[in-house]
Amino acid sequence: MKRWWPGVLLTGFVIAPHAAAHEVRPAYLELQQTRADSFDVLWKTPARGDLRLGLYVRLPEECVVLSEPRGVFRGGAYIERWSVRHPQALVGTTIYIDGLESTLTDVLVRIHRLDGSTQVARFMPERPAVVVAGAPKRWQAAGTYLAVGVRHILGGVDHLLFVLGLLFLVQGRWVLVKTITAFTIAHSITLAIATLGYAEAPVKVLNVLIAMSILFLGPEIVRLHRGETSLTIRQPWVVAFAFGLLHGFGFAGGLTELGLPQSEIPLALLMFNIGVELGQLSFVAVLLGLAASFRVLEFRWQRWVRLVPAYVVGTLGAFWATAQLAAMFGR
Amino acid sequence: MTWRRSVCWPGIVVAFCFVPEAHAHLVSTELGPFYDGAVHPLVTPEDLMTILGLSVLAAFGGARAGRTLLLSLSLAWCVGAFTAYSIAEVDCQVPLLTAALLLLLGVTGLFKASPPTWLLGAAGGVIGLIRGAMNGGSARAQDGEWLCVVGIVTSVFVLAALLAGLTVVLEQRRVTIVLRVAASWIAASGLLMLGWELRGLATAT
Repeated sequence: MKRWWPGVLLTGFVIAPHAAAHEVRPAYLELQQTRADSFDVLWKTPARGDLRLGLYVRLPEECVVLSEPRGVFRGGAYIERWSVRHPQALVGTTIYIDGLESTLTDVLVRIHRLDGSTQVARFMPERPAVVVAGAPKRWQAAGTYLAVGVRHILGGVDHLLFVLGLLFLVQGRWVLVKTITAFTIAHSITLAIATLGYAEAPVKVLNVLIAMSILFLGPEIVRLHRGETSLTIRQPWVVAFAFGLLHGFGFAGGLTELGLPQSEIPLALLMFNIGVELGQLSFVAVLLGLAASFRVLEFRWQRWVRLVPAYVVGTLGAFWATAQLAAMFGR
Repeated sequence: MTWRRSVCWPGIVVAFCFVPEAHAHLVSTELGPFYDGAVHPLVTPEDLMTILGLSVLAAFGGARAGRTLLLSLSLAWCVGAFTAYSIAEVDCQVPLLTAALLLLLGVTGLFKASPPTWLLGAAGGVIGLIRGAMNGGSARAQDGEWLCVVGIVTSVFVLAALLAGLTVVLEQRRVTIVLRVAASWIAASGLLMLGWELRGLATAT
């Protein structure tokens, strides 16, 4: 039973320094209109210690700086504030984020106007520019948060790997429904709690626990193949719910890091969660479709092939856990 | 059936040796290079219809033919894509041949011709190798990242598995009409593309 542990741990320690588990560290740009032609700018970039990500806001050339940028490192971010003036109140102009192309992160921009309207948009490495609209619609903001949710889950290899591991443990359609539902309910609970500010989890500890939740599933899949049983095998939905609570805090990082204003949180939370669910269900649907196809095509897998998923899940969980532990203890 | 095997299948194999890549533009999904690559075969009709056409033919041969096609096509696509990505920039288009090949594939499926499994596997291998090479080469030519190629290969495998499974199920349940309709659409698409290209050539001359 324990034969696989040394291999998994050794692999983990060897590749841990190169491991990069899912870390959502978006940047955030906020433009608050203060007069017909003036804006207060808030620019928040991810940082570690006193090192910030090399992202820089490039406003239209016609902008006149009213107050020079003042920056401070706070809470894992570098926050800058300054004021600008633009004759057309930025309408129809393009804002660029320099340096974004060479990163994997996103930048969310929110532009609040004096008339109460808000434009929400997203800069991406593939498209580091946003055109400022005149009168943005609310559905546009909803669409942006939905896209952030989809991107968060589909770009989050650790979350997907956990779902993959769960699917290998599930036996029967009803158990599958219960397991996926339990995971969804659990992560929705903690996502809401964390986003609304009722509770928060220390990021480093959370990352370790999420990695360990993946590591936990590897041996359980092996157990299942050996005909053994455990609580996880009998009731996978219990484990899905328990670890789903952890993953929900992880999902919340995608929103709380943005530092959204209270008024925007309900819409953002709803659409972000829907986006996460859409991404998750798409992933599950593809996997179930593949499983059905393999059955139809009468694939007869060798025993070692059937164990590959368990070792992939366990090994990646081991090295992410190792990497996150190293990060937690400052290595 | 004999004349179909003797004429159509070698024809398909030979013809696909010259399969071109058409409109190999990488789509931006805004989800990163892996997903950009994964979406590529889904939005490239030539790739999609080729995989579907081969799956329809595999369905007539049953589960074994489906397995053989899935493995040969995916593996060859993977080898072709990564080899081309490593060594060459290929971004050519030969739409006339693509159209002719789709027409041939569609017509063969329409007549429910069942190729021998080994021939289907060989055709899948040759086609996968060439189309994979075109995908990989164009990804390199457009400065795509290697993750993009991983996405293409993963997507082709998933797509081929799903389509092969689906078509085999349809054949097993005697819903052959659906397969023949799909084949007729592929043939019609090929015919339209062929006519369009020939018209273009005639206008040019």
